[in-house]
Amino acid sequence: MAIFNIQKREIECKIVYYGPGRCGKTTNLEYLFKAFKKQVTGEMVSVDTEGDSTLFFDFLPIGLGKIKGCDVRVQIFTVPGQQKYSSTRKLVLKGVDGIVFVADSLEVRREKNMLSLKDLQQNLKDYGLNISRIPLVMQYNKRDLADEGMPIMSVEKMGRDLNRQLKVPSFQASAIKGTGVGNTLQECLKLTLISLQRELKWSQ
Amino acid sequence: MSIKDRVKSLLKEADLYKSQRLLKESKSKYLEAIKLIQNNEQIPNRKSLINAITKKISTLDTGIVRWDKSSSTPEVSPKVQDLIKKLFTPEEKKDNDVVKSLKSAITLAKFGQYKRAIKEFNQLIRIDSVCVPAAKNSLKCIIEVSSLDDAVTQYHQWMNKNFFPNDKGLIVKQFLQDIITKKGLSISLDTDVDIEDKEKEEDTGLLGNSFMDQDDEDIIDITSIGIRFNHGPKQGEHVELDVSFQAGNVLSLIVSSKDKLLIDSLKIGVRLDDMDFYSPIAIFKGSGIVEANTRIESGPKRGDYSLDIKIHSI
Ligand SMILES: Nc1nc2c(ncn2[C@@H]2O[C@H](COP(=O)(O)OP(=O)(O)OP(=O)(O)O)[C@@H](O)[C@H]2O)c(=O)[nH]1
Ligand SMILES: [Mg+2]
Repeated sequence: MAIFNIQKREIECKIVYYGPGRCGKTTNLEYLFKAFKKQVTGEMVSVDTEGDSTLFFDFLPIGLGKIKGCDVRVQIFTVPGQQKYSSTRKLVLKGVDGIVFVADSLEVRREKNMLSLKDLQQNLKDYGLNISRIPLVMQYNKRDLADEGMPIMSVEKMGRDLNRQLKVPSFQASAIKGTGVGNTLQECLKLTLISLQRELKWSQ
Repeated sequence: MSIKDRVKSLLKEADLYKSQRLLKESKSKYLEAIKLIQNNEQIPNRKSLINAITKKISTLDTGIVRWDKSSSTPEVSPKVQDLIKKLFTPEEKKDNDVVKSLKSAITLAKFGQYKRAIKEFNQLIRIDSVCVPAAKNSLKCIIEVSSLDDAVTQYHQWMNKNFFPNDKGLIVKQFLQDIITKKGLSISLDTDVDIEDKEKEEDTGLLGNSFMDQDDEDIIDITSIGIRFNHGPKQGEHVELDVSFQAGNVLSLIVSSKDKLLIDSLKIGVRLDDMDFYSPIAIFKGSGIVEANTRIESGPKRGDYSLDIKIHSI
């Protein structure tokens, strides 16, 4: 839940990158940290294991400056995607305002994508939130692997698997190269701010 | 594609998965490659090729075992622990410093940072207003990190030093006794002094309500509840509802305006004797009392009803 300080006219909201283990959530944040230096307001913190899987979360604070007379700050988190970290994953999701669901384009990860989306839906439900109402965008990551002849899924297939009912904006990306990373976040921020404006009525 | 090319492409795939630490996927591609080589005698150097791949698989196996065995909540550095406290402790304006400290220690416990959490809870035990939740949570952490026996030892140490004012020791005792009973063990926490206390307290009926004290802040989050109605208009029915908000032992839920019968069955003061409380860890049986039943007047849920159910016992 975003924190809205009316006196100071400040808003702090929370964006979470969700998705199966190894799909590229941390790589997204690493790219954002490098590419959006101007907006980044602090260090990126990663709490990971020796095998570089995220253990608890990655955290990146950014500032968007004044929007409709309000100073908007955003806390960006990634969850640990690996199955065994389900309890911390849920803790990190708590209080979320907008979500980027990162899906792995690798054919061998097809099922893991779907399980992770289901897990997201269930965890949101446990917090009294509805996946079809929360600001959400999809990212189909690792598109670059097609060039190396790796078996990846078509965007249409991924859309059918993951986005047939939700019908949220979706982006192709290669987090490692940075393609699509900025667009994904921008759209998520846009949806999140629209939703918060409606909820908090701060522009009035 | 020739057999040779197929093998090559399988190996390339396996190598890529390995580099992305998709260890199981990588292993399965290596195994496929071995199978293909075994079935095709025309491939040169089959034996040494298979040997080389087998070695790769065994390295992967070591990695997989290590991963499966690794703790999902290892202790992290104090700096990261401080950050966890800062980022994940829910803030409320009305909280004083003591409540804030309690909440942040609970956050540490939720992230599996039990050792430091125990230290922080044990400092809070000296403060009357939070001694009960601090003690309960400390005991839970001790059970996680070492054993129930150690929790019992800790309990006795507190009691010997007379840590708790008034009846609060009894609340902690009952809490620990419940855990022991749930585990099917028969350790008794009674001492001679306690037994005298118990008789006194049965007179006043203290134990019944006191498990979930008003100022209690527990680790357990209730995510949804089940109610079995034994009388009233919904008699015989079992209803499940999601919890939209939890403040201590009060659960708030939203009931759609369409469910008139349910709203009528949950009038203020109604006692629900047959309830299931679902938490991420387990289902608990218990009872509750309806504390509020109000129509929502604005926002997207307008017209629906907001209910508060106070947990009476778990
Ligand atoms: N080729 C390619 N590799 C990628 C891409 N994005 C991530 N990777 C690789 O995939 C692996 C996993 O990336 P991470 O960013 O750590 O994945 P994650 O989603 O944070 O994983 P968890 O923390 O375990 O949930 C790493 O080896 C990355 O280099 C991409 O767009 N293309
Ligand atoms: Mg990660």
